[in-house]
Amino acid sequence: MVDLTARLSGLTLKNPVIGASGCFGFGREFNEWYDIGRLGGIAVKGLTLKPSPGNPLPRIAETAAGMLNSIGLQNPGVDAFISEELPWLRGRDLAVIANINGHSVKEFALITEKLNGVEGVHALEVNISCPNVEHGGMFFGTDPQMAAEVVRSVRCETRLPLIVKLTPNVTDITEIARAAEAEGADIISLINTVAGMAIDIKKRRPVLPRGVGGLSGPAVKPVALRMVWETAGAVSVPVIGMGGITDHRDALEFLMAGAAAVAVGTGNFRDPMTGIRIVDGLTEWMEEEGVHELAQVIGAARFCPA
Amino acid sequence: MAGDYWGKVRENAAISREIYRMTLDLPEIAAAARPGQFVMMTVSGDEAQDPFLRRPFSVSGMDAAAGTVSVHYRAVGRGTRAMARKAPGDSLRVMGPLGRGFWWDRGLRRAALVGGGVGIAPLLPLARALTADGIQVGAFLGAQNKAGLFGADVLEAAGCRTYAATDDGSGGYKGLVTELLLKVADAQGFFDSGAGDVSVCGSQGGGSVFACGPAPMLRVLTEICGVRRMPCQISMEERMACGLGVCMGCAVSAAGADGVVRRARVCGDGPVLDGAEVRWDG
Repeated sequence: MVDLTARLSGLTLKNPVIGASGCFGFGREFNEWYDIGRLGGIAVKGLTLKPSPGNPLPRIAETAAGMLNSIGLQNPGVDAFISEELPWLRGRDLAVIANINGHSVKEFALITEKLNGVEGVHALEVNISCPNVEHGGMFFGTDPQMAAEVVRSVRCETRLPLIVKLTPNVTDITEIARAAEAEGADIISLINTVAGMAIDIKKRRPVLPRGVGGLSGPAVKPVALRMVWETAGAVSVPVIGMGGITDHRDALEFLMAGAAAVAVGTGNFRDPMTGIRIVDGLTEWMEEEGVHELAQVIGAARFCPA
Repeated sequence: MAGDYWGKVRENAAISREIYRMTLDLPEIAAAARPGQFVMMTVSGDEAQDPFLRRPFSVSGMDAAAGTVSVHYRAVGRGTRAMARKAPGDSLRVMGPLGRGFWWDRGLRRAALVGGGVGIAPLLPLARALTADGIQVGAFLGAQNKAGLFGADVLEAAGCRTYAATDDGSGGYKGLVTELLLKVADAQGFFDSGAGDVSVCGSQGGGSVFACGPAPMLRVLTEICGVRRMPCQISMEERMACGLGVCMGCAVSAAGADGVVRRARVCGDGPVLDGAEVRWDG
């Protein structure tokens, strides 16, 4: 028997595989394909204070080994999440991570207040990295002072484990990670999508109405891995790694780079079984390799000090 | 319930200069699919990561006895060009049947099917099912040119009166298929059969329009049907990443029975939507 338990400060997952926010809905659709309770956790679709209709179509452009999206945080709002989605999620055996999005520092605090003490929410993921919204979003995640301010305001409101989700669209991601840690983040997750673009040469216009979208899928994996490597070396809190993971070998790369858990996003779109395939693949790999617990893998690729 | 299967290609060939038809062995999907439902197909191998996303295709034919499913497509992008290179014996990963198909009830007597371009595809199994239910069907096919027209043989074999229109006049009526529909349908008094409660397709005056094609065509059709109080079901084409209702890439605006405008996922709430409910300006 191998032990896949992932221990992230204050948040314990029975295995290190999380359905990534924005790519896993509220879990219902994937539960038609397998028992989502077999995953370690779900980071639900990004929640805003009020319901949000999202961006105009088209919202998707396929690019080499990946895709651009500009969904724009379409979601039913935090209240509808609590009343309509959470009761169903409570019956599933996995950690529920509420991904929260404010248009202002104050909104982050207001959403946090609403989720405080709500049964069935196991952690908050503060999204300071969405590239597809006009106000807030990535703006908060590209400046260490702004990031610190958001994290501080949420930290003041809650004792729930606090995950801060970072954008890769910065010069030095460790600077933002350290700012979040200093303000009390318990866990750092990365990466959100990489700002990108595609142009329709027939129309001579960007494919996406906002021009820029967020790149995800296997195309971003090397970038994500490098940033997880850097961040895990720069902070002492656990890191959740994501970006282009489609199988257990990808997941192992992130774990060996220093991530304590991984999230699976765009891979779910190609194959709805991706999450559970990774759990099974990790289990088999550990058995074959004689690795008894996950901790033996985490950071295994990091250079040893001389 | 949809499943994800390996489908072996039985046949994959250009049926005109623009349109390809692929038939695959997919017994589970062939047995379960309803007209208007779709499948998500990988075009790269199981280990290959490019193109990464699956492609949605309307089921254009299902034969439960033979265990086969067909799709029609145009080889216009990287994914569909890769599909065009598949040979009999190759296998593709196919998920389906997905989404909500067309619906009708015993009150339906006459149906006008309107297809634009590759949007003709889902109308082929629909025509078969409707005529099998004893419903009188007229089919209106539109394309840019003659090479884009297909399916007339299937429709006529099913017992449908078939009409064609092309933008350049190379096949059938020269002009838009919606103009042709108006000419024929008005002459035959088709729209007189639609008066009634437009929210219940087929269950009132006995007439209904079923359509699939590009958004501008569908929009004009819903306006035509709105004025004439004729029920109109439209199968919409949108870019989608997952086909499962998760990614929100294909969310259009639609008003429910309560008049409140909400997002409807073309993949999960559609692809067939009540045309009267769709809000075209978002």
